[in-house]
Amino acid sequence: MVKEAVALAGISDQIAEEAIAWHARHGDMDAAAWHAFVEWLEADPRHGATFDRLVMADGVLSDVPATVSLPTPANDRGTPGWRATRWIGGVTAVAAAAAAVFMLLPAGPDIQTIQTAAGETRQVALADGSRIEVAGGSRLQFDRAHPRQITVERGEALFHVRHDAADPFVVRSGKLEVLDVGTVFNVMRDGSRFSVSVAEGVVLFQPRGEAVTLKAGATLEVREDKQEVRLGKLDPGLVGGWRTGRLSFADSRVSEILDEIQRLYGTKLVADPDLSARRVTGMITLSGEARRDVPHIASLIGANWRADGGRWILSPGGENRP
Amino acid sequence: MGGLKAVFLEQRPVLMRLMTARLGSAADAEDLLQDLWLKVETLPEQDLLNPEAYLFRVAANLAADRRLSMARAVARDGLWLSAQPGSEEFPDAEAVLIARERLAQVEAALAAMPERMSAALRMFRIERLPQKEIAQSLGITVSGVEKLLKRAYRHLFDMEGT
Repeated sequence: MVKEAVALAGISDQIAEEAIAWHARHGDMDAAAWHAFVEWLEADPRHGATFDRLVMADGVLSDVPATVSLPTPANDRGTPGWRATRWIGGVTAVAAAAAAVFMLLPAGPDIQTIQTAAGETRQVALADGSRIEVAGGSRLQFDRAHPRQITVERGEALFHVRHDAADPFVVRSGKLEVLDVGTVFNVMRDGSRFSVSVAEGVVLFQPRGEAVTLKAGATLEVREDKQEVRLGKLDPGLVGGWRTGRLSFADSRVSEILDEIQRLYGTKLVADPDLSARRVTGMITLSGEARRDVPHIASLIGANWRADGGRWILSPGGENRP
Repeated sequence: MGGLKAVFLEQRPVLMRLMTARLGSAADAEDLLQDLWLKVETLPEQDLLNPEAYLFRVAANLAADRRLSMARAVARDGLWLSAQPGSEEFPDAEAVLIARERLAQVEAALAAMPERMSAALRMFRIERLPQKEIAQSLGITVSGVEKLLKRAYRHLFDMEGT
């Protein structure tokens, strides 16, 4: 069937092959190759059109839902477990059910944006009595026509939701959703990482898909780039701990920790490349004042620290050096 | 001035040609190039092995994103579709049906592919792994990976035209 289509296409078959070859190389090309690619695009209008069609075909792949399977009940005994079934090519019942097309959110005239700079916090009161405490470096959006549907584009926020069964409160972030069932919960989005932690009540994660119930004391972390989901426990008192400078890390990379601290408190820390990938588990209480916090951060990570203009540099080593 | 910014200015003419060839409009190309410049400005200083390649890669992705989001707009009314709980709220049911059909077609194509082919596609496209790693993971050569990807994309490409 495909061969017939190829024969009919004639010359454009050759162009299709070239387009596919260029597309496959995109990750490995140097400046000269990119220049050659541009020249190929310009050489014939059919080249550009063919490449565009290939990009469209490739684009649909983003809409194919990933199948994620979560830790079995045995893991609920308290140890976080990693387990993910990656999208291989079969479509499971769950994925098929979730195959509703997710298009871009409208940027219509009624969109409200809540945005904070690094280190800035903001309290937002919604008309229904719900309240959002927004952390630094965050960007949230909602449609004034649907104020109980909030999107977390990036950053972190603690939600205090007034429950209303007739009008569910939903928090979205990318393709992920959290449905509230009368609660206090924290949502964080940073690039391909997403997490939700529940302090009070119950939320439903991915109500239209996996429908995972999260109760007080539960936390769920998603890494979309790795298609991984981790369920764990977090003391309800620590949920939204960023509000009082209390942060906890479980096998977190130093680079992620420093990004989080900068986003939440504005403190600019730079780590030696050797440190960036180091993993840290532990807790820390920060004051928001860099001079007091940096030595504690360095000690948590097991690094030396020094000031450098408006930034703080961390380097490998264990003893604090002023 | 940061190294990446200097490279941007040096490569700007070719970047502009790339955007224009991809978007079909010099005005749109200028727009996107401006977005790219802003991105470059806000990036933290980092040691890139090949800053030119990085810039072109980002530029190509921006162009692809722009083309995809344009395609998703409902051509007739210029409306954007949104993911809302009640599907009765969708302004254009037909467009949604077409999009769903397309998605179903692609999913069927993926399911019909040999497992190694769709695995290679997933690793290349979703996990953004370099071909060398894909080859190691699948226990084949890099040229084997190339062949798999090319055949996979040929399937998708042919379907796109129907």
